Order: sequence, then C-alpha cells, then structure tokens
Amino acid sequence: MNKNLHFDFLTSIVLMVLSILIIADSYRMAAEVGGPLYASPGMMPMVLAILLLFTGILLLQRTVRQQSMGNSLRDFMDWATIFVKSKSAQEMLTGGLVLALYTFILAPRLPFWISTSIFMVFIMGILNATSIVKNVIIAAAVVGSIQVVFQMIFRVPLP
Amino acid sequence: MDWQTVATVFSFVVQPMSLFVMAVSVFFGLVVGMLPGLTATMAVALLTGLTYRLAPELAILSLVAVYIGSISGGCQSAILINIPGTPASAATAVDGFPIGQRGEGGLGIFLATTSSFFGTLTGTLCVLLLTPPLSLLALKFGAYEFFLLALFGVMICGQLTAGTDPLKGWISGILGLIVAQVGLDGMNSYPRFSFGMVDLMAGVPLIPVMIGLFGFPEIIYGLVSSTARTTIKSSALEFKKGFGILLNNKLNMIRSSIIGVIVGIIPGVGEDVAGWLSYWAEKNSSKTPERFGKGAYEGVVAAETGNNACIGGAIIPVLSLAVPGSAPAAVLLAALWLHGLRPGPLLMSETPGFVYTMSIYMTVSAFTMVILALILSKATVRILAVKSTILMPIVYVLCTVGSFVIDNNIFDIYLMFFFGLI
Repeated sequence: MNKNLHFDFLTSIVLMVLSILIIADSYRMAAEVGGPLYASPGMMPMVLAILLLFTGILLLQRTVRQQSMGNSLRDFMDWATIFVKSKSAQEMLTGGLVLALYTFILAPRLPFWISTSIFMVFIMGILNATSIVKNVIIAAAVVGSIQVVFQMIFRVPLP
Repeated sequence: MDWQTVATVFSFVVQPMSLFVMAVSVFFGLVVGMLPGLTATMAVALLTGLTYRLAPELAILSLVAVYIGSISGGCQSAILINIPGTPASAATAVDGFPIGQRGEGGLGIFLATTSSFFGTLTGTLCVLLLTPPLSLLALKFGAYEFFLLALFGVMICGQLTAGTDPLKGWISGILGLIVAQVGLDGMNSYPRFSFGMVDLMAGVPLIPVMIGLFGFPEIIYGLVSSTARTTIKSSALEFKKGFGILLNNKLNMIRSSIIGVIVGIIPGVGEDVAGWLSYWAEKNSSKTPERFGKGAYEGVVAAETGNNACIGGAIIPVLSLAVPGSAPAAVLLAALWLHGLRPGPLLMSETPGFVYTMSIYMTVSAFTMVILALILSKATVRILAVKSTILMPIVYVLCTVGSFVIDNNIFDIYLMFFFGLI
C-alpha cells in the first residue's frame, strides 16, 4: 500500500470543493461588478480555480487508478484512528494550543516582555524542558536579548 | 568594472555596524544550518522579517550572510552527529561522520569549511561573470517572452517544491497564485476574498506567509520529536594536514565548483543536488572508489565545495531573470523585491552596480563564515546539545517578531499562524 494514497485522495476532494467555491465566488464578483468578463475582478481567480479543479481531478484520477475510493477512505480512517491516539499527536496538539494561546490571546493583549515570558515559561514547563528555575532564566535571557537587539539597537517596535 | 561602486560598497561593508550585522547573521546562519530540522530557507525567511526595518543595503548584506552561513553550517552536525543540519550537507555526512568517528572531527570540519569557502568564492566569481551577459540577453525579451518566463516560473514549482511529484508542486503554485488574488483588484478596486476584513484588503503579505509555511511545521515537529542528541567531541583543526589534503584536491574542488554553479543556475534544483552530484562525480573519477563512505576526505571536499558553489549559481538567475535557482534563493528574491530592488532583465540598466554589490557581499560573507566557523567550531557544536523543547519556543518567538515588524500589524502574526497550520 502506498502510504500517501489516502492523503492524495482526501487532498483531491478538498481541492475540488475549494476550486468550485472559488469559481462560484468569482462568478458572483463578475455579476456584481458587471461589464465584460475579461475586465472583471473575478476573471483571474476563475482561471486559477479552473486550473486548480483540473489538477485536483488529475490527482483524484491518479489515486483511484491505484486504489479504490473505498480503500482510500478506509485507509484514511485507520490512519486517523491511530494518529489521534498516538502520543505525538497529543504533543502536537498541546504544542499547537500553547502557540495559539500566545498568538491570539497573550501577544495582542499584553506587552511583549510579559506575554513572551509567560509563553516561554509555560511551554517549556509543559514540555519538561528543564527545571522551573532554569526555564525562568532562559525566558528572561531570551526576552532581554530580543528587547535589547530590536528595541534598543535597531529601534524596531515589538508586538 | 565600475570601480566607484566597488569602492563605495567596500567602504560600506567595513563600517562597524555592517561588520557587526554580517557577523551576527553569519553566526545565526551557521547555528541554523547546523541544527537538524532548521533549513537555510527558513533562516533567510526568518531574517527577511527581522531585518525589514534595516536600511536595504544592511538588510541584503545580512540575508546574503545568513544564506552562506546556513549552507556552510550544515557540515558540522553532519560530521559530528551524522545528521546533516540542512539537506545541502546530506552528502557530507556519508564520509564526514566516519572521519569524525575515527577522532578527526576537527580535521573534517576544517576541510568542509575551507571547501565551502572555496565553493562560495567560485560561485561569486560566476555571479560577476555570468549575470551581465544573461541580463543583456533577457533585455531582448518582449511581452511573449516575459509571459513564457512567468509561465516557466509556475511550471518549475513542480520541481522546486515536490521534485518527485510535479503535480503537487503545480497545485502548490496555483494555490499560491490564488492567495495572491486576495485584496483589492487593480481595475475596479473590488475587495476579492477579503470577507469584510480591512486587513485583508491590502492583500496577503509575503513575509508572514513565508515564515509560517517554512518555520511553523519545523517548530511543531521539534516540539513533538524532542530527542536528545549525542555529539562526538570535535578534535583539533589540524591546519597543516588539512591544507595538504586540499592541495591534493585541487581538481576535485574546481570540478565540484563548476557542477555546483551549473546546478544552481538550473531553476528548482538546489544545493542538496549540487552536493550529491559533486560527490558522485568525485567518487566516479577516483582510482579508489571503495574508500568512499568510509571516511574519504575527497568526499567531504567535493560535497561541501559543490553545495556552496550552488549559492552563487542560484543567485545568477535571481539577478538576471528574476527566477530563483533554489528555495533559499526564492526567498532572497522576495526579500530583494521587498527592499525596492527589481532583479531581472532591467537590473543591469536600472542598478548596474548591484551585481558588484552582491559579489562583494558574498565574498566578505564567505571570509566571515570561514573565520567564524573555524574559531567557534568547538563552541557552536555545543548548541547541538540544546534540546528542541528549549530551542523551538525561542524560534517561535522570533517568527512572531519577524512577522510583526513588517507593518507593525498584529494581524500578520495571525496570518503567520494560519499559514503555518496549512
């Protein structure tokens, strides 16, 4: 079994759905603005979406030739079941959540040095990087270095 | 030769601030290059964001320095832990690690670094010699030729992003063009795919997207596979023996440089292929090919000369045709545009001195690289022992800062995260 076939199958479906949505939206843009199609804002996205649809169909055709749709779906479900239960998936999800927390909640609301210090101590603590004291020292050193280099030397504002 | 430009650029490069930025960038490149999982492309992308607010000359000097540093730095981890820091150093590990295992890690690093230096200088010479004639040829291009060149750019996505499966590369290229459609259209100022968000009406900025696409997956991967690495201790550098070996490898170095430059000029191939091809050529021409893979010095010299000569080769089409020769060169091309330069056929008529500027930046960066890599080799390899659970949060903070400083817009950080997830 080619381990990527079920991913290719799913990708081709997503690409085809995406391209159909873009074609529909491009048509809506052309209708809304009016005038000839070649001058409409939907012209270029429509051409690109048609190309995307074409490549999506090619990918689907290539996948189906090697493995039936049913088998591809079954392989994908099997992979998803194993992946969701795996330790690496949980680590990935935890890491991703902490990164999202920093990106969407801490960084926009708090000054850089506070948000980054909290983020670094927190994520290194979760990942058991070193002891809490060392985590705090590393976070302080990183935040201090970035502040000095960007704000003091280059005079670049930080988030 | 435009001696006035040469003198001006030299006077700029020797200023304390330029030397400082260049040394920091080369060091950053060496560290990124040596750390498995962090690529030269990521290093250039990350620094493009971080240096955006600098003067264009300083920013470009910094980007060239980090490009050279990161391609050269990969050899240290290849020799000492058998993990190439970047794909460009994959061929170096074949003979480099056995050299390290038999207690000659220092000699291996000396050979690899000096060969990298030679390769970079040869590539620079080719930038100087080949860019002007290629640009002159490109000046004869009309609308049809430019259209075909643009189409060629999309077509090479097939090779550049997915060497064995061009279809996926083309899909990536088309998706990239669709992302570029976001924002107000040029004729009617109609907000395409903006979903009512003012931040999206100006379009999707390139740098946060690049940082997200190249940096984010490596950060997530680093958080997951947090494994401790064991490093062989680096021995003395053995200059005398090293120079003797290099003298015996004159032909090897020249041949590998030529291969590297040619591979670099071909769009969409890159430094890793240059390293392997040079290694293969040396092995095939050797009278004792059976020694290769068991710690042959020639293997390390060939691979490192080839992959670094490729840097110059990859920059030639960037400057003359605005078509990148490798993935890091593609990011460098975007950075040149961001700083107001227009690489391509008009470069020689609009900014004729830029080829000399680029060549001087490359030469001085190569000297800085060889000096820093050799002096700091014992210290820098200690960085290899840093756990990825410590390193990756730091890299993420730098990605955040790099995305933010372009426009001082927090929305760019969201974009970086979004494209990283993709």
